[in-house]
Amino acid sequence: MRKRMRILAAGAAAAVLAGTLAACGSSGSMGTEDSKTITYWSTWNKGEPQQQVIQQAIGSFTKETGIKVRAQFSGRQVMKQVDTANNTSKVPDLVDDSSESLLSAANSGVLQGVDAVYGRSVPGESKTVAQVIPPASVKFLKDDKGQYALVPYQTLVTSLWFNDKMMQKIGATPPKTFDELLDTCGKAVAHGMACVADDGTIPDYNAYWLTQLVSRYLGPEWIRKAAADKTGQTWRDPKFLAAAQALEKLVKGKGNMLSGYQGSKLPAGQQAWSQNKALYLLMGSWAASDTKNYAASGFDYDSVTFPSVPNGQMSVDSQSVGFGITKKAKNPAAAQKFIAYFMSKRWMSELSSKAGVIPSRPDVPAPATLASVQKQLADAPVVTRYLDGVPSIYPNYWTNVFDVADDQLFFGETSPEKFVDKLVSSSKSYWASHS
Amino acid sequence: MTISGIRRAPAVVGGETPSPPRHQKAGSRRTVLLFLLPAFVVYTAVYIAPAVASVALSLFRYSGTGDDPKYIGLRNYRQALRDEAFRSSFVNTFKVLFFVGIAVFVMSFVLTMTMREMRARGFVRAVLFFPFLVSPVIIAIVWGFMLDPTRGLVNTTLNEVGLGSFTQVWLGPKLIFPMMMTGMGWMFTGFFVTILMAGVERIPPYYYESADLAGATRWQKFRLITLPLSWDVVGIMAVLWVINAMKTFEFIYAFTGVGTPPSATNWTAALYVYYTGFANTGQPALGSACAMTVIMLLIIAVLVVLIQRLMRRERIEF
Repeated sequence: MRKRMRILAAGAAAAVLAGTLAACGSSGSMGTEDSKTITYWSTWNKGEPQQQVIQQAIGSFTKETGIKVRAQFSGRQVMKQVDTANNTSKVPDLVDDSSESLLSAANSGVLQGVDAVYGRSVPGESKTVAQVIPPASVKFLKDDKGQYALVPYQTLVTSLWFNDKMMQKIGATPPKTFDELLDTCGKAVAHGMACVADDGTIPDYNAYWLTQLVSRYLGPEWIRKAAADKTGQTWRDPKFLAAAQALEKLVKGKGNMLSGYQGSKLPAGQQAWSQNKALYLLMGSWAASDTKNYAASGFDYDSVTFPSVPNGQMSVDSQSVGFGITKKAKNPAAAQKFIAYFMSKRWMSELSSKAGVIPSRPDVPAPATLASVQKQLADAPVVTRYLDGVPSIYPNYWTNVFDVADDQLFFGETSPEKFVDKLVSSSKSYWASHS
Repeated sequence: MTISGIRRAPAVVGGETPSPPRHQKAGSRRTVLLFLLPAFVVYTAVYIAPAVASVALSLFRYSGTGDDPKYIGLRNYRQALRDEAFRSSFVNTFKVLFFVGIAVFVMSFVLTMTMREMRARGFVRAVLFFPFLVSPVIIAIVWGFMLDPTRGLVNTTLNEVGLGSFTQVWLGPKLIFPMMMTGMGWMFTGFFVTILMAGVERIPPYYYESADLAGATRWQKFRLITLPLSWDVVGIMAVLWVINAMKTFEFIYAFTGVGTPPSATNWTAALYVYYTGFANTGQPALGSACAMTVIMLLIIAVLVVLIQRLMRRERIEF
């Protein structure tokens, strides 16, 4: 009996382990068809507003050109499916996802360059695709080979969000400098609300604060350079310490942070903000659409670019959602045609009015709640890549080194000096094992 | 019969049965092989072959996105073993293995001993088993929402009943992993109680009756009757637990929300493998993930063998 039990246990163990290992070696597949058809795998789920607009555009495109689009709305993990399918011959022609995701896919050799789309005319208009998108919005969209990895149709910007009415109620004006921001915090706390809301269980959201401060103190792309330093010594820059000290002032200020923010689970923190329990939310352009169903009545969404610091550098942190074409695409020409078709004013306007997002074309106005964000982008002296691109370029470093150290500082568990020391030592150790 | 009357069975049994004639033996072996063949083919194609492929891939630099694998020998292994984050994710896995394991086993024994004498034990067992029927992803999400410090059920209730001083930042960096472990313990206890109950129910009641007459305490009954007579089942439970603990994944993956992974300080080895092989951002590294999986396989194999050695006892027949 014991022997049988042992065999049973060993069998169970082998089955589970083999299953774990098998996950490593398997792959999926989906199909594409003839030259009159393109296959499109989307980052949107069925029923999402962007999906509905794209679905409508597909209908019109097929009617006008005769090219069928077989759409599969896969959701945010779409590129994981595309990556796996790329091991087979059955890949989609057209995909869409965030710029960071598509850039990674292009650098992995999954996508082909889409420079040709930028040269195409937008149907019904006298301009090319390149002429309707500002160069600042596309300068970070090139892969390692210098080719465009995607054509953006939606723009996302990290902004400091607040309720305009609440700002007036506490007798404050939107901050232009970080010191002004701390002043407004004092006023918010005096009025019985916290200054900052945040969902602390999302390390990337926590990192928005320090990365924005660093981009003010040290300028764009500095974090990327520091992250790539195998000795870790770049983090010893006195200005980086100054940025960490500024963050400490905010998080250690009495009542500044929403109580329990360190363990707040998305979307609790941002919903608390929309119920006027905190004055600010540092968030991407989805802040308004994500919280509108929970917001206090009369909540007046407004935002500013993250404030400046003395002798600092202003910039706007941005990313996009756009279309890419796979390297193994059977019908790249038709896919290019669809992208150019979707970039017309008509569909960009639909995105703005129906999906409530900022279209990548600045000549199409954003919806009212995002008008301030579109202006921030237009007025930006420099547009920087989302989180300096570090989460995509050095993903393990970002999650295991930077985010871990940043959480400690942002939760007020360490001093800025110790934070810098930790970042230097962890970076050195990380690069020693990942050379 | 008294407690001392429990017989120790010989280590080898069955030697006395007469062997069937040779021609019958060969025929029955052919039938057995015939029945085994479909399972063997499917199992080899679906499990064994990909597993072998994974071991091979662990020697290559390969992203798994259609690129050509490049042979790099044992470099993926060297990198994984020197990787601080991989090691810390293993520490988390071992925390689950030992702390949750001890809690689950103690709770299972306590509950089994209590339920053994209960009238409605079938119902209670069903209630305890229920969490195991629900997807761990759902349970993790619900636990996460209950423990949210800003508006979760736990802190809200504590505030409502005047115990506001007991509120905690349950999902903050200090408590989030202990909370994940508590949730896992809650989820698994019912499953192990059910297995243990099945073993304990085989024990003839007259042993306990006799023990009662002899004036044995609960602890004595547990130590001298329940534990020795359910030892085989405990051994199976231990192996199942090691496997479950080593592959702890979905509970932690979903605890802070699907698609929004918690801080890397809370990752287990399985989660680390997933994010290496199917990157959330950046380029995936499937070859490296396969090397990590092989390391996990070896550790599980060693643990299972160790447990089987540790649990080896002379079998008691009753």
